[in-house]
Amino acid sequence: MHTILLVEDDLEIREELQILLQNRGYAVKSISDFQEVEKQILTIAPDLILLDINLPNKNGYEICRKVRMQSKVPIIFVTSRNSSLDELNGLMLGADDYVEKPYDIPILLARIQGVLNRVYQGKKDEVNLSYQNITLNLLESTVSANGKTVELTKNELKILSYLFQHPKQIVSRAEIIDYLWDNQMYIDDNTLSVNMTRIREKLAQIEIENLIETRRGQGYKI
Amino acid sequence: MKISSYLKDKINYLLAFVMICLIWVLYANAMQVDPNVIFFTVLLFSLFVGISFLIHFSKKNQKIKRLNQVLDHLQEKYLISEVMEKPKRAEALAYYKILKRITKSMLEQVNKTQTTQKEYKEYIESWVHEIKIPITSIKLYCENNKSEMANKIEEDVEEINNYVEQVLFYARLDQVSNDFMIREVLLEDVIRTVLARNKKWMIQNKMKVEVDHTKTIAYTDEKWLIFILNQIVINSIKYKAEENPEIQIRIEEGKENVKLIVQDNGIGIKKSELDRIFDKGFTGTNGRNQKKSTGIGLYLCKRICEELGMRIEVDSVQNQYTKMELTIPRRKPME
Repeated sequence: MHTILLVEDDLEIREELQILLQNRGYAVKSISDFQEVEKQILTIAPDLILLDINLPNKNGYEICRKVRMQSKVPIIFVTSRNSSLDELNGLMLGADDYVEKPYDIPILLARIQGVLNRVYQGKKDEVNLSYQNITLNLLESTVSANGKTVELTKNELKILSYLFQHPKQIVSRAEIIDYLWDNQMYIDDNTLSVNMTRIREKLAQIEIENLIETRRGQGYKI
Repeated sequence: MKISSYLKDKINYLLAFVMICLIWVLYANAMQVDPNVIFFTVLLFSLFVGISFLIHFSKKNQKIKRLNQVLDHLQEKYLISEVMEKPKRAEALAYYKILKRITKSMLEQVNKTQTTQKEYKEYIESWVHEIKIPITSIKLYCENNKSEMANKIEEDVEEINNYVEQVLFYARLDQVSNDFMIREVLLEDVIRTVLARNKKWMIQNKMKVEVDHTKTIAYTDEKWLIFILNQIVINSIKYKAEENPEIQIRIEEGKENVKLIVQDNGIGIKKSELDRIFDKGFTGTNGRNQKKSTGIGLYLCKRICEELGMRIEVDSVQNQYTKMELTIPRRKPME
Protein backbone atom coordinates (compact mmCIF):
# COMPACT_ATOMS: atom_id res chain seq x y z
CA MET A 1 0.00 0.00 0.00
CA HIS A 2 1.39 3.40 -0.97
CA THR A 3 1.36 6.30 1.44
CA ILE A 4 0.23 9.63 0.06
CA LEU A 5 0.95 12.83 1.93
CA LEU A 6 -1.42 15.79 1.55
CA VAL A 7 0.05 19.25 1.87
CA GLU A 8 -3.11 21.30 1.61
CA ASP A 9 -4.19 24.16 3.84
CA ASP A 10 -7.92 24.03 3.12
CA LEU A 11 -9.39 21.86 5.85
CA GLU A 12 -12.45 20.64 3.92
CA ILE A 13 -10.47 19.62 0.87
CA ARG A 14 -7.90 17.92 3.05
CA GLU A 15 -10.48 15.86 4.90
CA GLU A 16 -12.49 14.89 1.85
CA LEU A 17 -9.41 14.05 -0.17
CA GLN A 18 -8.23 11.88 2.68
CA ILE A 19 -11.52 9.94 2.67
CA LEU A 20 -11.42 9.64 -1.11
CA LEU A 21 -7.90 8.30 -1.26
CA GLN A 22 -8.42 5.95 1.67
CA ASN A 23 -11.47 4.54 -0.11
CA ARG A 24 -9.24 3.86 -3.09
CA GLY A 25 -6.84 1.88 -0.98
CA TYR A 26 -4.09 4.36 -0.22
CA ALA A 27 -2.68 5.17 3.16
CA VAL A 28 -3.06 8.91 3.65
CA LYS A 29 -1.26 11.34 5.91
CA SER A 30 -1.56 15.08 5.98
CA ILE A 31 0.24 18.14 7.20
CA SER A 32 -1.77 20.36 9.51
CA ASP A 33 0.96 22.53 10.95
CA PHE A 34 2.58 24.59 8.26
CA GLN A 35 5.82 25.33 10.09
CA GLU A 36 8.87 23.60 8.67
CA VAL A 37 6.82 21.56 6.29
CA GLU A 38 9.80 20.11 4.47
CA LYS A 39 11.19 18.64 7.69
CA GLN A 40 7.86 16.98 8.42
CA ILE A 41 7.76 15.63 4.87
CA LEU A 42 11.18 14.06 5.21
CA THR A 43 10.23 12.49 8.55
CA ILE A 44 6.99 11.04 7.22
CA ALA A 45 8.78 9.78 4.09
CA PRO A 46 5.66 9.22 1.98
CA ASP A 47 5.55 7.49 -1.42
CA LEU A 48 3.90 10.47 -3.05
CA ILE A 49 3.13 14.08 -2.13
CA LEU A 50 0.14 16.11 -3.26
CA LEU A 51 1.39 19.65 -2.84
CA ASP A 52 -0.67 22.84 -2.94
CA ILE A 53 1.06 26.06 -3.99
CA ASN A 54 -0.68 28.76 -1.96
CA LEU A 55 0.18 27.81 1.58
CA PRO A 56 0.69 29.73 4.79
CA ASN A 57 4.33 30.62 5.48
CA LYS A 58 6.28 29.02 2.66
CA ASN A 59 4.65 28.43 -0.71
CA GLY A 60 4.60 25.09 -2.46
CA TYR A 61 7.42 25.97 -4.85
CA GLU A 62 9.84 26.62 -2.03
CA ILE A 63 8.80 23.47 -0.23
CA CYS A 64 9.28 21.49 -3.43
CA ARG A 65 12.76 22.91 -3.92
CA LYS A 66 13.79 22.18 -0.35
CA VAL A 67 12.45 18.63 -0.50
CA ARG A 68 14.11 17.99 -3.85
CA MET A 69 17.50 18.80 -2.37
CA GLN A 70 17.22 15.74 -0.17
CA SER A 71 14.66 13.40 -1.67
CA LYS A 72 13.37 12.11 -4.97
CA VAL A 73 9.90 11.40 -3.63
CA PRO A 74 7.32 11.96 -6.39
CA ILE A 75 5.49 15.27 -6.08
CA ILE A 76 2.27 16.31 -7.80
CA PHE A 77 1.32 19.97 -7.59
CA VAL A 78 -2.40 20.39 -7.02
CA THR A 79 -3.39 24.01 -7.28
CA SER A 80 -5.96 26.50 -8.44
CA ARG A 81 -3.22 28.61 -10.01
CA ASN A 82 -3.30 27.69 -13.63
CA SER A 83 -1.17 30.06 -15.64
CA SER A 84 1.48 28.52 -17.86
CA LEU A 85 4.11 30.21 -15.77
CA ASP A 86 2.91 28.42 -12.64
CA GLU A 87 2.95 25.09 -14.39
CA LEU A 88 6.37 25.67 -15.88
CA ASN A 89 7.67 26.75 -12.50
CA GLY A 90 6.36 23.60 -10.89
CA LEU A 91 7.83 21.27 -13.46
CA MET A 92 11.19 23.08 -13.47
CA LEU A 93 11.45 22.51 -9.74
CA GLY A 94 11.28 18.80 -10.32
CA ALA A 95 7.61 18.05 -9.70
CA ASP A 96 6.35 14.92 -11.44
CA ASP A 97 2.97 16.28 -12.46
CA TYR A 98 0.73 19.30 -12.20
CA VAL A 99 -3.03 19.04 -11.64
CA GLU A 100 -5.35 21.99 -11.67
CA LYS A 101 -8.11 22.62 -9.17
CA PRO A 102 -10.95 21.92 -9.42
CA TYR A 103 -9.81 18.55 -10.61
CA ASP A 104 -11.95 15.82 -12.03
CA ILE A 105 -11.61 13.06 -9.53
CA PRO A 106 -11.04 10.18 -11.96
CA ILE A 107 -8.35 12.24 -13.64
CA LEU A 108 -6.65 13.10 -10.36
CA LEU A 109 -6.70 9.42 -9.43
CA ALA A 110 -5.33 8.44 -12.83
CA ARG A 111 -2.49 10.96 -12.48
CA ILE A 112 -1.64 9.66 -9.02
CA GLN A 113 -1.65 6.09 -10.30
CA GLY A 114 0.37 7.12 -13.33
CA VAL A 115 3.11 8.72 -11.25
CA LEU A 116 3.17 5.82 -8.82
CA ASN A 117 3.44 3.30 -11.66
CA ARG A 118 6.23 5.27 -13.24
CA VAL A 119 8.24 5.63 -10.07
CA TYR A 120 7.57 2.31 -8.38
CA GLN A 121 7.59 -0.10 -11.26
CA GLY A 122 6.78 -3.74 -10.83
CA LYS A 123 3.82 -3.36 -8.54
CA LYS A 124 0.86 -4.14 -10.75
CA ASP A 125 -2.83 -4.19 -10.03
CA GLU A 126 -4.53 -7.43 -9.20
CA VAL A 127 -5.00 -9.44 -12.37
CA ASN A 128 -7.81 -11.65 -11.13
CA LEU A 129 -11.08 -10.97 -9.38
CA SER A 130 -13.15 -13.80 -8.04
CA TYR A 131 -16.59 -14.26 -6.63
CA GLN A 132 -17.82 -17.65 -5.45
CA ASN A 133 -16.41 -20.07 -8.00
CA ILE A 134 -16.18 -17.51 -10.80
CA THR A 135 -12.88 -15.94 -11.82
CA LEU A 136 -12.50 -12.78 -13.85
CA ASN A 137 -9.16 -12.49 -15.60
CA LEU A 138 -8.52 -8.81 -16.17
CA LEU A 139 -5.44 -9.21 -18.34
CA GLU A 140 -6.92 -11.77 -20.71
CA SER A 141 -10.40 -10.31 -20.52
CA THR A 142 -12.10 -13.62 -19.80
CA VAL A 143 -14.44 -15.06 -17.23
CA SER A 144 -14.22 -18.68 -16.17
CA ALA A 145 -16.11 -21.15 -14.00
CA ASN A 146 -16.83 -24.85 -13.98
CA GLY A 147 -13.72 -25.47 -16.04
CA LYS A 148 -15.04 -23.35 -18.90
CA THR A 149 -13.83 -19.95 -20.11
CA VAL A 150 -15.50 -17.33 -22.24
CA GLU A 151 -14.07 -14.12 -23.69
CA LEU A 152 -15.46 -10.70 -22.82
CA THR A 153 -15.41 -7.39 -24.64
CA LYS A 154 -13.85 -4.34 -22.96
CA ASN A 155 -17.23 -3.03 -21.84
CA GLU A 156 -18.41 -6.37 -20.53
CA LEU A 157 -15.18 -6.87 -18.61
CA LYS A 158 -15.44 -3.48 -16.91
CA ILE A 159 -19.09 -3.98 -16.00
CA LEU A 160 -18.39 -7.36 -14.48
CA SER A 161 -15.33 -6.16 -12.65
CA TYR A 162 -17.33 -3.33 -11.11
CA LEU A 163 -19.96 -5.82 -9.91
CA PHE A 164 -17.23 -8.10 -8.60
CA GLN A 165 -15.71 -5.21 -6.65
CA HIS A 166 -19.08 -4.61 -4.98
CA PRO A 167 -20.38 -8.07 -4.08
CA LYS A 168 -23.73 -8.32 -2.29
CA GLN A 169 -24.42 -4.65 -2.91
CA ILE A 170 -26.98 -3.10 -5.16
CA VAL A 171 -25.19 -1.21 -7.87
CA SER A 172 -27.24 1.33 -9.80
CA ARG A 173 -27.16 1.63 -13.55
CA ALA A 174 -25.96 5.23 -13.21
CA GLU A 175 -23.06 4.07 -11.05
CA ILE A 176 -21.99 1.51 -13.67
CA ILE A 177 -22.24 4.04 -16.49
CA ASP A 178 -20.25 6.50 -14.39
CA TYR A 179 -17.55 3.93 -13.79
CA LEU A 180 -17.34 3.07 -17.48
CA TRP A 181 -17.02 6.73 -18.40
CA ASP A 182 -14.20 7.07 -15.92
CA ASN A 183 -12.50 4.31 -17.88
CA GLN A 184 -13.07 6.05 -21.18
CA MET A 185 -15.94 3.89 -22.34
CA TYR A 186 -18.61 6.42 -23.12
CA ILE A 187 -21.73 4.28 -23.24
CA ASP A 188 -25.34 5.29 -22.80
CA ASP A 189 -28.21 3.63 -21.03
CA ASN A 190 -29.34 1.50 -24.00
CA THR A 191 -25.84 0.18 -24.59
CA LEU A 192 -25.65 -0.84 -20.95
CA SER A 193 -28.83 -2.91 -21.32
CA VAL A 194 -27.43 -4.58 -24.42
CA ASN A 195 -24.20 -5.33 -22.59
CA MET A 196 -26.00 -6.77 -19.58
CA THR A 197 -27.96 -9.14 -21.81
CA ARG A 198 -24.77 -10.27 -23.51
CA ILE A 199 -23.01 -10.80 -20.18
CA ARG A 200 -25.89 -13.02 -19.03
CA GLU A 201 -25.68 -15.03 -22.26
CA LYS A 202 -21.95 -15.48 -21.85
CA LEU A 203 -22.32 -16.52 -18.20
CA ALA A 204 -24.88 -19.08 -19.31
CA GLN A 205 -22.26 -20.50 -21.66
CA ILE A 206 -20.09 -21.32 -18.66
CA GLU A 207 -23.08 -22.72 -16.78
CA ILE A 208 -23.61 -19.75 -14.47
CA GLU A 209 -27.27 -18.83 -14.25
CA ASN A 210 -28.89 -16.07 -12.25
CA LEU A 211 -25.64 -14.61 -10.96
CA ILE A 212 -26.72 -11.07 -11.64
CA GLU A 213 -29.96 -10.13 -10.00
CA THR A 214 -31.94 -7.25 -11.44
CA ARG A 215 -33.57 -5.00 -8.87
CA ARG A 216 -36.26 -3.01 -10.62
CA GLY A 217 -35.62 0.69 -10.41
CA GLN A 218 -32.56 0.14 -8.28
CA GLY A 219 -29.92 -1.65 -10.29
CA TYR A 220 -28.04 -4.90 -10.20
CA LYS A 221 -26.63 -7.13 -7.52
CA ILE A 222 -24.45 -10.20 -7.36
CA MET B 1 -2.56 71.66 -46.94
CA LYS B 2 -3.93 73.00 -50.20
CA ILE B 3 -2.60 76.22 -51.66
CA SER B 4 -6.13 77.61 -51.92
CA SER B 5 -6.77 77.13 -48.20
CA TYR B 6 -3.36 78.59 -47.46
CA LEU B 7 -4.19 81.68 -49.47
CA LYS B 8 -7.53 81.90 -47.74
CA ASP B 9 -5.66 82.02 -44.42
CA LYS B 10 -3.48 84.80 -45.80
CA ILE B 11 -6.38 86.84 -47.18
CA ASN B 12 -5.56 89.82 -44.94
CA TYR B 13 -2.06 90.08 -46.32
CA LEU B 14 -3.33 89.70 -49.86
CA LEU B 15 -5.89 92.46 -49.37
CA ALA B 16 -3.24 94.70 -47.83
CA PHE B 17 -1.01 94.05 -50.79
CA VAL B 18 -3.79 94.91 -53.28
CA MET B 19 -4.51 98.09 -51.31
CA ILE B 20 -0.85 99.14 -51.37
CA CYS B 21 -0.70 98.50 -55.09
CA LEU B 22 -3.88 100.52 -55.64
CA ILE B 23 -2.63 103.47 -53.56
CA TRP B 24 0.67 103.41 -55.41
CA VAL B 25 -1.06 103.34 -58.80
CA LEU B 26 -3.34 106.24 -57.85
CA TYR B 27 -0.47 108.23 -56.37
CA ALA B 28 1.88 107.59 -59.28
CA ASN B 29 -0.88 108.44 -61.72
CA ALA B 30 -1.50 111.75 -59.97
CA MET B 31 2.24 112.41 -60.12
CA GLN B 32 2.06 111.80 -63.87
CA VAL B 33 4.53 108.94 -63.76
CA ASP B 34 4.94 107.11 -67.02
CA PRO B 35 2.24 104.32 -67.10
CA ASN B 36 4.86 101.84 -68.28
CA VAL B 37 6.91 102.53 -65.17
CA ILE B 38 3.79 102.14 -62.96
CA PHE B 39 2.91 98.86 -64.61
CA PHE B 40 6.49 97.64 -64.30
CA THR B 41 6.81 98.50 -60.60
CA VAL B 42 3.46 96.84 -59.79
CA LEU B 43 4.55 93.71 -61.69
CA LEU B 44 7.88 93.60 -59.88
CA PHE B 45 6.20 94.08 -56.51
CA SER B 46 3.61 91.35 -57.23
CA LEU B 47 6.32 88.96 -58.32
CA PHE B 48 8.28 89.60 -55.17
CA VAL B 49 5.24 89.13 -52.90
CA GLY B 50 4.05 86.08 -54.87
CA ILE B 51 7.39 84.30 -54.64
CA SER B 52 7.79 84.94 -50.95
CA PHE B 53 4.26 83.57 -50.37
CA LEU B 54 5.16 80.47 -52.38
CA ILE B 55 8.36 79.88 -50.43
CA HIS B 56 6.51 80.34 -47.18
CA PHE B 57 3.78 77.95 -48.30
CA SER B 58 6.14 75.18 -49.35
CA LYS B 59 8.12 75.49 -46.12
CA LYS B 60 4.96 75.23 -44.05
CA ASN B 61 3.73 72.38 -46.14
CA GLN B 62 6.93 70.44 -45.73
CA LYS B 63 6.83 70.91 -42.01
CA ILE B 64 3.30 69.50 -41.85
CA LYS B 65 4.29 66.60 -44.08
CA ARG B 66 7.25 65.78 -41.87
CA LEU B 67 5.07 65.86 -38.79
CA ASN B 68 2.56 63.53 -40.46
CA GLN B 69 5.33 61.14 -41.36
CA VAL B 70 6.54 61.01 -37.79
CA LEU B 71 2.96 60.45 -36.73
CA ASP B 72 2.54 57.60 -39.20
CA HIS B 73 5.50 55.78 -37.77
CA LEU B 74 4.47 56.35 -34.20
CA GLN B 75 2.67 53.44 -32.55
CA GLU B 76 1.11 55.53 -29.82
CA LYS B 77 0.15 58.57 -31.82
CA TYR B 78 -0.89 60.54 -28.78
CA LEU B 79 2.78 60.84 -27.86
CA ILE B 80 3.48 63.14 -30.82
CA SER B 81 4.23 66.17 -28.68
CA GLU B 82 7.07 64.20 -27.07
CA VAL B 83 8.72 63.48 -30.39
CA MET B 84 8.07 66.54 -32.52
CA GLU B 85 10.71 69.26 -32.69
CA LYS B 86 10.14 72.25 -30.57
CA PRO B 87 8.98 75.17 -32.72
CA LYS B 88 10.82 78.49 -32.60
CA ARG B 89 8.09 80.94 -33.53
CA ALA B 90 6.15 82.45 -30.66
CA GLU B 91 2.67 81.46 -31.84
CA ALA B 92 3.67 77.91 -32.72
CA LEU B 93 5.43 77.61 -29.38
CA ALA B 94 2.25 78.58 -27.58
CA TYR B 95 0.29 75.89 -29.44
CA TYR B 96 3.09 73.43 -28.75
CA LYS B 97 2.81 74.10 -25.04
CA ILE B 98 -0.95 73.63 -25.15
CA LEU B 99 -0.47 70.34 -26.96
CA LYS B 100 1.95 69.22 -24.27
CA ARG B 101 -0.52 70.00 -21.54
CA ILE B 102 -3.24 68.08 -23.38
CA THR B 103 -0.95 65.08 -23.81
CA LYS B 104 0.01 65.13 -20.19
CA SER B 105 -3.56 65.18 -19.01
CA MET B 106 -4.50 62.38 -21.39
CA LEU B 107 -1.54 60.26 -20.33
CA GLU B 108 -2.69 60.61 -16.76
CA GLN B 109 -6.15 59.42 -17.78
CA VAL B 110 -4.76 56.51 -19.77
CA ASN B 111 -2.53 55.48 -16.89
CA LYS B 112 -5.38 55.68 -14.46
CA THR B 113 -7.57 53.51 -16.68
CA GLN B 114 -4.80 51.03 -17.24
CA THR B 115 -4.12 50.72 -13.54
CA THR B 116 -7.81 50.28 -12.78
CA GLN B 117 -8.09 47.66 -15.47
CA LYS B 118 -5.02 45.83 -14.28
CA GLU B 119 -6.23 45.84 -10.72
CA TYR B 120 -9.63 44.62 -11.83
CA LYS B 121 -8.04 41.82 -13.81
CA GLU B 122 -5.90 40.83 -10.86
CA TYR B 123 -8.97 40.85 -8.68
CA ILE B 124 -10.81 38.60 -11.15
CA GLU B 125 -7.84 36.23 -11.23
CA SER B 126 -7.63 35.96 -7.47
CA TRP B 127 -11.41 35.69 -7.16
CA VAL B 128 -11.38 32.79 -9.61
CA HIS B 129 -8.64 31.05 -7.62
CA GLU B 130 -10.62 31.53 -4.41
CA ILE B 131 -13.90 30.26 -5.84
CA LYS B 132 -12.15 27.18 -7.19
CA ILE B 133 -11.39 26.00 -3.67
CA PRO B 134 -15.02 25.54 -2.56
CA ILE B 135 -15.84 24.13 -6.01
CA THR B 136 -13.13 21.53 -5.45
CA SER B 137 -14.44 20.59 -2.04
CA ILE B 138 -18.04 20.32 -3.28
CA LYS B 139 -16.86 17.93 -5.98
CA LEU B 140 -15.06 15.88 -3.36
CA TYR B 141 -18.13 15.80 -1.09
CA CYS B 142 -20.21 14.52 -3.98
CA GLU B 143 -17.69 11.84 -4.85
CA ASN B 144 -17.45 10.67 -1.24
CA ASN B 145 -21.21 10.69 -0.68
CA LYS B 146 -22.61 9.24 -3.87
CA SER B 147 -26.32 9.56 -4.37
CA GLU B 148 -28.75 10.81 -6.94
CA MET B 149 -28.75 14.18 -5.23
CA ALA B 150 -24.95 14.28 -5.27
CA ASN B 151 -25.03 13.62 -9.00
CA LYS B 152 -27.33 16.57 -9.55
CA ILE B 153 -25.22 18.84 -7.38
CA GLU B 154 -22.11 17.77 -9.21
CA GLU B 155 -23.75 18.53 -12.52
CA ASP B 156 -24.60 22.05 -11.38
CA VAL B 157 -21.19 22.63 -9.86
CA GLU B 158 -19.64 21.72 -13.17
CA GLU B 159 -21.83 24.31 -14.84
CA ILE B 160 -20.67 26.90 -12.31
CA ASN B 161 -17.10 25.86 -12.98
CA ASN B 162 -17.58 26.35 -16.70
CA TYR B 163 -18.82 29.89 -16.22
CA VAL B 164 -15.97 30.62 -13.83
CA GLU B 165 -13.48 29.39 -16.40
CA GLN B 166 -15.06 31.61 -19.00
CA VAL B 167 -14.56 34.64 -16.79
CA LEU B 168 -10.93 33.78 -16.20
CA PHE B 169 -10.14 33.17 -19.83
CA TYR B 170 -11.97 36.30 -20.89
CA ALA B 171 -9.92 38.33 -18.44
CA ARG B 172 -6.75 36.78 -19.78
CA LEU B 173 -7.61 37.15 -23.43
CA ASP B 174 -5.33 40.07 -24.19
CA GLN B 175 -2.40 38.26 -22.62
CA VAL B 176 -2.87 34.92 -24.35
CA SER B 177 0.50 35.40 -25.97
CA ASN B 178 2.19 35.57 -22.55
CA ASP B 179 0.29 32.69 -21.11
CA PHE B 180 0.83 29.73 -23.30
CA MET B 181 3.27 26.92 -23.39
CA ILE B 182 3.34 25.14 -26.74
CA ARG B 183 4.35 21.55 -26.34
CA GLU B 184 3.43 18.00 -27.21
CA VAL B 185 -0.17 17.36 -26.35
CA LEU B 186 -1.76 13.93 -26.51
CA LEU B 187 -5.17 14.72 -27.96
CA GLU B 188 -6.69 11.72 -26.24
CA ASP B 189 -5.85 13.27 -22.86
CA VAL B 190 -7.56 16.52 -23.82
CA ILE B 191 -10.69 14.69 -24.97
CA ARG B 192 -10.66 12.61 -21.81
CA THR B 193 -10.44 15.67 -19.58
CA VAL B 194 -13.28 17.43 -21.35
CA LEU B 195 -15.56 14.39 -21.29
CA ALA B 196 -14.74 13.80 -17.62
CA ARG B 197 -15.81 17.34 -16.84
CA ASN B 198 -19.13 16.98 -18.56
CA LYS B 199 -19.70 13.37 -17.57
CA LYS B 200 -22.66 13.84 -15.24
CA TRP B 201 -24.42 16.25 -17.53
CA MET B 202 -23.96 14.02 -20.56
CA ILE B 203 -25.08 10.86 -18.79
CA GLN B 204 -28.10 12.70 -17.43
CA ASN B 205 -28.97 13.73 -20.98
CA LYS B 206 -28.44 10.18 -22.24
CA MET B 207 -25.82 11.28 -24.70
CA LYS B 208 -23.95 8.74 -26.71
CA VAL B 209 -20.33 9.53 -27.31
CA GLU B 210 -18.02 8.07 -29.88
CA VAL B 211 -14.35 8.83 -29.56
CA ASP B 212 -11.41 8.00 -31.78
CA HIS B 213 -8.80 6.38 -29.61
CA THR B 214 -5.57 7.28 -31.33
CA LYS B 215 -2.26 8.31 -29.89
CA THR B 216 -2.19 11.47 -32.00
CA ILE B 217 0.04 14.25 -30.85
CA ALA B 218 -0.30 17.93 -31.69
CA TYR B 219 1.69 20.99 -30.74
CA THR B 220 -0.34 23.49 -28.82
CA ASP B 221 -1.13 24.70 -25.33
CA GLU B 222 -3.03 22.02 -23.47
CA LYS B 223 -4.89 24.32 -21.10
CA TRP B 224 -6.29 26.57 -23.81
CA LEU B 225 -7.14 23.60 -26.05
CA ILE B 226 -9.08 22.02 -23.21
CA PHE B 227 -10.96 25.26 -22.78
CA ILE B 228 -11.85 25.42 -26.49
CA LEU B 229 -12.90 21.79 -26.77
CA ASN B 230 -14.92 22.15 -23.60
CA GLN B 231 -16.87 25.10 -25.02
CA ILE B 232 -17.61 23.11 -28.18
CA VAL B 233 -18.75 20.03 -26.28
CA ILE B 234 -20.92 22.15 -23.96
CA ASN B 235 -22.67 23.60 -27.01
CA SER B 236 -23.26 20.12 -28.38
CA ILE B 237 -24.93 19.15 -25.12
CA LYS B 238 -26.93 22.36 -24.83
CA TYR B 239 -28.27 22.11 -28.35
CA LYS B 240 -28.66 18.35 -28.53
CA ALA B 241 -31.25 16.36 -30.45
CA GLU B 242 -34.42 15.41 -28.59
CA GLU B 243 -34.02 11.75 -29.49
CA ASN B 244 -30.82 9.69 -29.38
CA PRO B 245 -28.44 12.57 -28.90
CA GLU B 246 -24.95 11.75 -30.01
CA ILE B 247 -21.50 13.31 -30.21
CA GLN B 248 -18.62 12.05 -32.27
CA ILE B 249 -15.09 13.22 -31.60
CA ARG B 250 -12.77 12.34 -34.43
CA ILE B 251 -9.13 12.96 -35.15
CA GLU B 252 -7.83 13.32 -38.68
CA GLU B 253 -4.10 13.46 -39.20
CA GLY B 254 -2.79 15.61 -42.02
CA LYS B 255 0.75 16.34 -43.05
CA GLU B 256 1.21 19.65 -41.25
CA ASN B 257 -1.89 19.71 -39.10
CA VAL B 258 -4.21 17.57 -37.07
CA LYS B 259 -7.94 18.04 -37.25
CA LEU B 260 -9.98 17.58 -34.13
CA ILE B 261 -13.59 17.26 -35.21
CA VAL B 262 -16.63 17.38 -32.97
CA GLN B 263 -19.84 16.45 -34.69
CA ASP B 264 -23.23 16.15 -33.04
CA ASN B 265 -26.67 15.26 -34.34
CA GLY B 266 -28.25 18.23 -32.58
CA ILE B 267 -30.56 21.04 -33.61
CA GLY B 268 -27.90 22.68 -35.78
CA ILE B 269 -27.45 26.31 -36.71
CA LYS B 270 -29.40 28.39 -39.23
CA LYS B 271 -27.47 28.93 -42.41
CA SER B 272 -27.92 32.69 -42.14
CA GLU B 273 -26.33 32.67 -38.68
CA LEU B 274 -23.33 30.44 -39.42
CA ASP B 275 -21.03 33.34 -40.24
CA ARG B 276 -21.79 35.15 -37.04
CA ILE B 277 -21.57 32.47 -34.35
CA PHE B 278 -17.98 33.45 -33.51
CA ASP B 279 -18.93 37.11 -33.06
CA LYS B 280 -18.82 38.56 -29.58
CA GLY B 281 -22.24 38.68 -27.99
CA PHE B 282 -23.97 36.82 -30.81
CA THR B 283 -26.54 34.44 -29.36
CA GLY B 284 -28.58 33.51 -32.41
CA THR B 285 -31.96 31.83 -32.55
CA ASN B 286 -30.79 28.78 -30.60
CA GLY B 287 -29.26 30.83 -27.81
CA ARG B 288 -32.35 33.00 -27.46
CA ASN B 289 -34.67 30.02 -27.36
CA GLN B 290 -32.71 28.36 -24.60
CA LYS B 291 -32.02 31.62 -22.76
CA LYS B 292 -28.73 30.19 -21.64
CA SER B 293 -26.33 31.72 -24.06
CA THR B 294 -23.90 34.52 -23.30
CA GLY B 295 -22.49 34.80 -26.79
CA ILE B 296 -19.02 34.69 -25.31
CA GLY B 297 -17.94 31.05 -25.50
CA LEU B 298 -17.35 30.69 -29.23
CA TYR B 299 -16.00 34.22 -29.48
CA LEU B 300 -13.33 33.26 -26.95
CA CYS B 301 -12.61 30.07 -28.89
CA LYS B 302 -12.05 31.99 -32.08
CA ARG B 303 -9.80 34.57 -30.44
CA ILE B 304 -7.71 31.94 -28.66
CA CYS B 305 -7.36 29.96 -31.90
CA GLU B 306 -6.03 33.04 -33.64
CA GLU B 307 -3.48 33.61 -30.90
CA LEU B 308 -2.35 29.99 -30.89
CA GLY B 309 -2.10 29.58 -34.66
CA MET B 310 -5.06 27.23 -34.85
CA ARG B 311 -8.20 27.39 -36.95
CA ILE B 312 -11.80 26.82 -35.97
CA GLU B 313 -14.45 26.19 -38.58
CA VAL B 314 -18.10 25.33 -38.42
CA ASP B 315 -20.44 23.46 -40.67
CA SER B 316 -24.05 22.78 -39.86
CA VAL B 317 -27.42 21.84 -41.28
CA GLN B 318 -30.40 22.82 -39.19
CA ASN B 319 -32.06 19.92 -37.38
CA GLN B 320 -29.38 17.55 -38.62
CA TYR B 321 -25.92 18.24 -37.29
CA THR B 322 -23.26 20.72 -36.23
CA LYS B 323 -19.66 20.00 -37.03
CA MET B 324 -16.84 21.97 -35.43
CA GLU B 325 -13.41 21.49 -36.84
CA LEU B 326 -10.23 22.53 -35.03
CA THR B 327 -7.03 22.57 -37.04
CA ILE B 328 -3.97 22.24 -34.83
CA PRO B 329 -0.30 22.28 -35.88
CA ARG B 330 1.37 18.88 -35.85
CA ARG B 331 4.92 20.05 -35.65
CA LYS B 332 6.90 22.10 -33.24
CA PRO B 333 6.86 25.73 -34.30
CA MET B 334 10.25 27.03 -35.47
CA GLU B 335 12.24 28.51 -32.65
